[in-house]
Amino acid sequence: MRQRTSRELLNVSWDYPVYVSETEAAEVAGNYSRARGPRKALPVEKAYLEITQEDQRPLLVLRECDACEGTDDALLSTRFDNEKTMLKAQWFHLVKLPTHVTDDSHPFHNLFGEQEMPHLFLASHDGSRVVPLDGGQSQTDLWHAMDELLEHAYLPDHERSLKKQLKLLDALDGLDEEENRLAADLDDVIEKKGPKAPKAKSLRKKLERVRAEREEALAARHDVAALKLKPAAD
Amino acid sequence: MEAGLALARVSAARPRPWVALLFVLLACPLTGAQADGDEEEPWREDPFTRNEPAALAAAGYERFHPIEFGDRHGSRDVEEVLGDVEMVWIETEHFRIGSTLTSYKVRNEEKKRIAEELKALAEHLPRVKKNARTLEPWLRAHLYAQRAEQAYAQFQDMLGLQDQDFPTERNTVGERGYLGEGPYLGQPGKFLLLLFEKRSECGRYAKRYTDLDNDTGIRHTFERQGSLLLGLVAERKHGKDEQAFKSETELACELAFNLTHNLANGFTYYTFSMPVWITEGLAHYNGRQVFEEENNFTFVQELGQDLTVEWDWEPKVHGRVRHDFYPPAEELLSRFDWGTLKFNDQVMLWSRVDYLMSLGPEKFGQLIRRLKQRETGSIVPTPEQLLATQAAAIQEIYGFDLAGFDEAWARWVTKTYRSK
Repeated sequence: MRQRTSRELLNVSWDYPVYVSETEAAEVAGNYSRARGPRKALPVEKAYLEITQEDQRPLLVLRECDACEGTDDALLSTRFDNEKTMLKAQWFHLVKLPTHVTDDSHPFHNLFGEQEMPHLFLASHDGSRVVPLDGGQSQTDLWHAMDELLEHAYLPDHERSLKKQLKLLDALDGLDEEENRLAADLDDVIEKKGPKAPKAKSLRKKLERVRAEREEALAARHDVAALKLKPAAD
Repeated sequence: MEAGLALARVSAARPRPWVALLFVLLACPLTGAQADGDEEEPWREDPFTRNEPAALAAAGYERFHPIEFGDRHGSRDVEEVLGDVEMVWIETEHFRIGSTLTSYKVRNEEKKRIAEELKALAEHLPRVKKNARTLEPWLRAHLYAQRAEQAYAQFQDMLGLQDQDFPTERNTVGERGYLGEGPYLGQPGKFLLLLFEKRSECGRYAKRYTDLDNDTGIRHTFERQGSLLLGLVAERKHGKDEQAFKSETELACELAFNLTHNLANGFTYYTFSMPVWITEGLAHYNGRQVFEEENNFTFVQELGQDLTVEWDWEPKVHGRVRHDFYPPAEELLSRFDWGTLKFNDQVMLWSRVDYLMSLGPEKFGQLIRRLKQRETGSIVPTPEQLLATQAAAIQEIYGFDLAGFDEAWARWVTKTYRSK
């Protein structure tokens, strides 16, 4: 089982965009209130602009549904290991939209196209390339779609980065375990024999070493994960 | 539980009296029975009061939906932002509460504690079954309303104050001196509580109505109406590897911990922070009163360690005191920076407050009152002034200086705490 640092790094970090109409924004700026018009779907180009807010990363947009009950089941497998999906996901701008995006008046409704609404889709930041998925897709199909968008958006090579990251996560797990053990032992020695006990001194040294190694591994992981976006075409 | 749950810190608010007045005038309360669209929105009817005004009053409630909530948004706005969700809304004497929590099956290990709470609730809501094993959305909201009001009453008692001691208008100094800018412990607006079933709901609310980007919980101040918000989330951060949702006990502990922060910060109107030991130590003390095995931390340095394993704090403190290995009061009580707190510092904060509370909660209330004391709301003491006030107040209230605090506390720990 992954340890705390790896779990934090593998955490799928969602963005939850909420559209604020110009009327509402003006209210806040001008400190007044007035009646708001009915909710209206934005044109698809404007919807992409609202969602991305100039973020050039490819998009992974998931709409929640009552069946999923707030889980990420449409993205993450309930049967297989999800680490590769989670690691690939870090290079996407992950957007989660509420169930009522299915209403044709929802500001972001048009992101999902005019045909049958996909459960999630992957897209380039401007929507010029879109891969719709129904939520029941196989993990292989999902990875294939993610790879396609990643290759389109980033300079190579995300697969190599992914392999290195997996190794670093294993290393971080080992360091976390060691740190937990040493810290617990140090606490125990301090509380039973006092802070000046000979064992406390050696444990402190070991703990310092493990913490330094952990910092190094974290920095290495950060460097390895930092893919460069391709320059925008003129 | 999420051991390292770091709820966003509350940012300082500045008084804006005219804005609050405008807000009060704009608010147009209706009772739940008057809510629009009741027939089409059956979840709006509370099965325990049936939205009858007399039953609401007996329960100590002022209204259900619709409720004016935070700055420039009401209950209907929140429901829309969250995704047109079905929410339960309750406005009590001191809180405005919104909940998306779904039905919950009480676990065996928490059955007794929740049964006691249901028994207390049934005194005001006779339709509540004292032995209910499934907590429906409305019943959960009632429980949180009860918990919040109890925490408020307990805090106010500790301060030795009552509702009528606080000003009803801004810029008022009453018989008991300056006590803030409004009737809710000194805040002009009621305390706000949001209970989210899903992280995405918290994320959407935070994004829309606060400057925070957090889907695991929020503490925030709405400057315009002068209300402090607490948002808690039932869904865990790492749901795939363990149970996806927190237990009722975990959430109750989170509430006790984080509400303590908001109440303490809000007392006499939130414009500055007290030294961290006061709020965090008292928050630990109150959270552990609910269930000592579920601990929350506003911040801890050791990200790599699984702190949830360590909940039996008495022997830890006892051992450290025995070997004279602890941060002295002079240093521990002078911290304002959360970033300096390590796990063992957190344990020590709790123990210091544990000791002072053993000398009488009212004395600790006096200490908070002294720290928050000023002549008007526009005066914001510097950290140096606060530390000088703190040292003088400890001497005056407890009869010892900071070195004496160390000695008295260490003696008490050795005598009171288990060694293993």
